[in-house]
Amino acid sequence: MQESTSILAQAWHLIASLDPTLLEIVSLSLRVSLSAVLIASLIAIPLGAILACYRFIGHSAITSVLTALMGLPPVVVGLGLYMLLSRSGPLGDLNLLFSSSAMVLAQSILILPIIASLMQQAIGEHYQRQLEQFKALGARQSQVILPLLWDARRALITSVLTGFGRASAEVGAVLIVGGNINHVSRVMTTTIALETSKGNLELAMALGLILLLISFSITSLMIIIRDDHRLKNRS
Amino acid sequence: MTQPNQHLPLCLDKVNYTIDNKALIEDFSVEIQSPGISMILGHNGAGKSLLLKLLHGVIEPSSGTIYWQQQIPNSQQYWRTLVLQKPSFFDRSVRFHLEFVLSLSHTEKAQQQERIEHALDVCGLSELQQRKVSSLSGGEIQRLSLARAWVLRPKVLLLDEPTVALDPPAAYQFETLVKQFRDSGSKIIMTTHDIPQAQRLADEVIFIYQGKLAEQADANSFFKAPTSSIAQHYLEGQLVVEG
Repeated sequence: MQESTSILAQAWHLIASLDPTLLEIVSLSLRVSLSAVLIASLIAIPLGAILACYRFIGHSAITSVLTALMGLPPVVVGLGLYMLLSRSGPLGDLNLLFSSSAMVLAQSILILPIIASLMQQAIGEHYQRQLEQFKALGARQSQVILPLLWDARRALITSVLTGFGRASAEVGAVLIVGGNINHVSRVMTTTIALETSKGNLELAMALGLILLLISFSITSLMIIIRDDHRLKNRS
Repeated sequence: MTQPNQHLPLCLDKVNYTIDNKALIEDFSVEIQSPGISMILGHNGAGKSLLLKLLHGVIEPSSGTIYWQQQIPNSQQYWRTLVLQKPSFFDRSVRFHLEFVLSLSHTEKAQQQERIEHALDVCGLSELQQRKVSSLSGGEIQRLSLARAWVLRPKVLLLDEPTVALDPPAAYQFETLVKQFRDSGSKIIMTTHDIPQAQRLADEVIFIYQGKLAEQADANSFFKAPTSSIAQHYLEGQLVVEG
């Protein structure tokens, strides 16, 4: 018990003193996850909106695949990317393996289906509710997508936050393609795994606390957005 | 009072609309050529709303033809607008909705402001133009629905039971607007369950029963002495309820 308290105290000291190693790892983690969220959102939001408003050949197949990919095992993504990016792989010439770019790519692949599926569901509900009205107004899908995105803005923010939460907590894929190299590809989750195995629990605990804080902040933000929406609907 | 309308006559020739082998509109032939307000009356499920949607082009007949002065309707012709019984809106301001429909109809920017101000003014929404739709009352929402249609300056206005959820003062306001639009030369085709309202507004009545045309008559003659027995029963039944 005393040891645990001591580890917690030292972990807190690392955070409070803004330890450079800690800051470097947190900073890289945020850069990687935010970049992944940005890239995934740029593809997933339009994709979700298109799937919500248009019907075309292959629509059901794409929707089914996206839904299935929401539960994509991270280590499988890591392995697949590793094979693509390794020297003998088809994208080996890009020299991306064991870099932060490879980690961004891995996280983007993992969260893209999540954001796209959530957006499809959210915009789909708004679209179906107004479909008859759109027909009566003679509005084409392309003309209603932007206003619908605005109507679904809370769901949009929630889905992006969900994606960020998933990305920042990811460990398997980034460990495989990033390699957990010091000052290059060491992020919070991979460092926690490494430092715990080495018995350096202070740094692992400090990073764990920050991860918890991020997770708590995201959840709180989503609850605030949801409650604000419900409150406005009631009034 | 009313002026000739270039989109009339409207002709329906043996129109059928079938879903799952069930004929919801059956062998429906009618010609509407008089200006003013044509009121579609009938029981619940008679096909009144479906008929309006067919006239607008939101849905297409399974067989038969609909011609507006030789033109087959499609939903992107803005001389004709349909106000749904349960209209829906974006989570945006009153004004946004008028701007939105004008952008759909590719109305010139220079004309947009003038048309929006006029529609807001006529429908009594000028004060509410920046308010979100979610904060409006039922009557205000129906007036917005009418303003959204009216801003397009339609020659034909199709109204599907527009006052069904309104209290008498709001319904009265709405009726006043409908008369105003009729007087400005627009053809109005409207459905209602409210017989006194039909008596106040209608110039012509089209009575339908189980998806078929039962009677088409001048409003005065219809309410005085309908020729079809089903319309007689309908009016008598309603009078009993009203009395």
